[in-house]
Amino acid sequence: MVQQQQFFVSEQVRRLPWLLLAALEPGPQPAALLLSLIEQQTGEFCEPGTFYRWMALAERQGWMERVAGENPLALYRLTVAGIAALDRQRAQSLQPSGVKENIMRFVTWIVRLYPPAWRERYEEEMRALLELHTITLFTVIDLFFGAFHAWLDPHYRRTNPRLLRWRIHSAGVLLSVSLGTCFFAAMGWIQVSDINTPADLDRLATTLSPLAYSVLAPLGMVGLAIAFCSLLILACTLIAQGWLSLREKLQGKKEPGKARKRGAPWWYILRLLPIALAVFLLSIPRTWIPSWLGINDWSFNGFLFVLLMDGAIEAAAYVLSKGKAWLERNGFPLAVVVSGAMVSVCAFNVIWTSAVWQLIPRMEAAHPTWQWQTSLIIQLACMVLATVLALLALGLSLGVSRRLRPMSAPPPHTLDTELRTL
Amino acid sequence: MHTTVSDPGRFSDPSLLILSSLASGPKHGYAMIEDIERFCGTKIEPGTLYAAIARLERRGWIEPLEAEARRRPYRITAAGATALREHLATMQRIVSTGMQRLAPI
Repeated sequence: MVQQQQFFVSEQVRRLPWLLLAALEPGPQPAALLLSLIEQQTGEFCEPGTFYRWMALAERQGWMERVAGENPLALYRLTVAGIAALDRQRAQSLQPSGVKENIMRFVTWIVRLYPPAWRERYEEEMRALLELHTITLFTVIDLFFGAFHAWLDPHYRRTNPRLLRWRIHSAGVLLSVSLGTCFFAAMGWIQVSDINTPADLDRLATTLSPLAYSVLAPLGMVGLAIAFCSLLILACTLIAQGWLSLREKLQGKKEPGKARKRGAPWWYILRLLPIALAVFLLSIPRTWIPSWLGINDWSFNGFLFVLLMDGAIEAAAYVLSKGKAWLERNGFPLAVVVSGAMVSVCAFNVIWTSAVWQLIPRMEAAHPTWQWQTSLIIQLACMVLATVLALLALGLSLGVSRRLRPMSAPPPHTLDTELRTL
Repeated sequence: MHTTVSDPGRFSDPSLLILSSLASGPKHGYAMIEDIERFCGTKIEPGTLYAAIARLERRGWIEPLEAEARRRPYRITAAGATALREHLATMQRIVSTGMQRLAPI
């Protein structure tokens, strides 16, 4: 049985066929009832001929469809296209379109101030409503208060996944920079302590306490292995990126779906040159290098470790950008791994600094030069910097771990969840 | 929510108005605003409307239906109808008591 229902007649829809569509909004109606409904609502007589002509037009436009029966008792209902057409008509107001657009842009911006969890659930329908609504100063103030109120509601206080990804990414970059700084400091220390041959290591063993040596020697080996891998990854990454860039250039097109913008091929070749030079200098006897080039142990090691740091950062950035989907799925374990790495770096720095501190009085006598003192200050500054960076990254990754843990809980906005929590 | 000086909407609560509006059948946000303005004279702004909708939905007093062209209609649940009935009965008692006490004045 079809119930007679009232429908909403605003100024924008006070004409056929909009009246017709508005009359169908509460639910399907027979054609004869529609006519009387429109007459009741508008208080004006409607010619049946005009009415059925408009009905035919609305049906042809796909705004309404016949459910059952024949005219005048045929049952009609509003289609999705009809709802959209009615909405568009209602959205038309006396304001000029430019002003209306600007106002809509502004209120859309205000809606973005709502918490992400609230927006996931209500943003679309709220925006559809605002398109129909006459925006006034009250509306704007009301939206601001609504956004503020939603942020106060613990139900919608959920962390933005993009922010989490940014934190994981930042923690990874900080980890790389911290490791690079550690290596730089370590190389300076090795330079100062004159470790060039196995005999130097023996001398170091007698200088340091057994405990410090047993920790430093394996750490040094691991550090050198990581440094070598960083250099290798940098070279491979640059070769691969340069090759892909060259291929794109030759084919005259870019591969679709590539989020990372590649540079020109010459850029990768330029960045590969220092690595090639370092490998070349490492492979030839030192006596072959002309003295006028000014390449001594200090400058060469500094140059090598700038390359290593670059390699570590490049490798971390490459892995993180490539593994974005993996990152989204496995954010929590990654955050735990990064936190663990940060703790290791902090512990490593503390041990290293204590060992250097222990050696200072002995080495001061052996190297009373300004180079040594400057190097020592730089090393200690690098270690402090590396520790601060590691602590920052640790804070970020621990924050991510804490925030990601509740994500295993079911989404809070479903009706079932609401009923369960009542 | 802003009203004219003489209308009774000043004393109304958005949740009560929404439940009253939905008592006549499912409606989407815009239809609720229009309906409430017609029967009560109060024009609810979208921010207030959706804050109340969210509260009512969480209490299980209203539930969303399938969205049609970006608009999502809502309908009152049995629990919502019971809550509305109880609230209106209380208001009815207040109205009758108030009117009785005003009669001698």
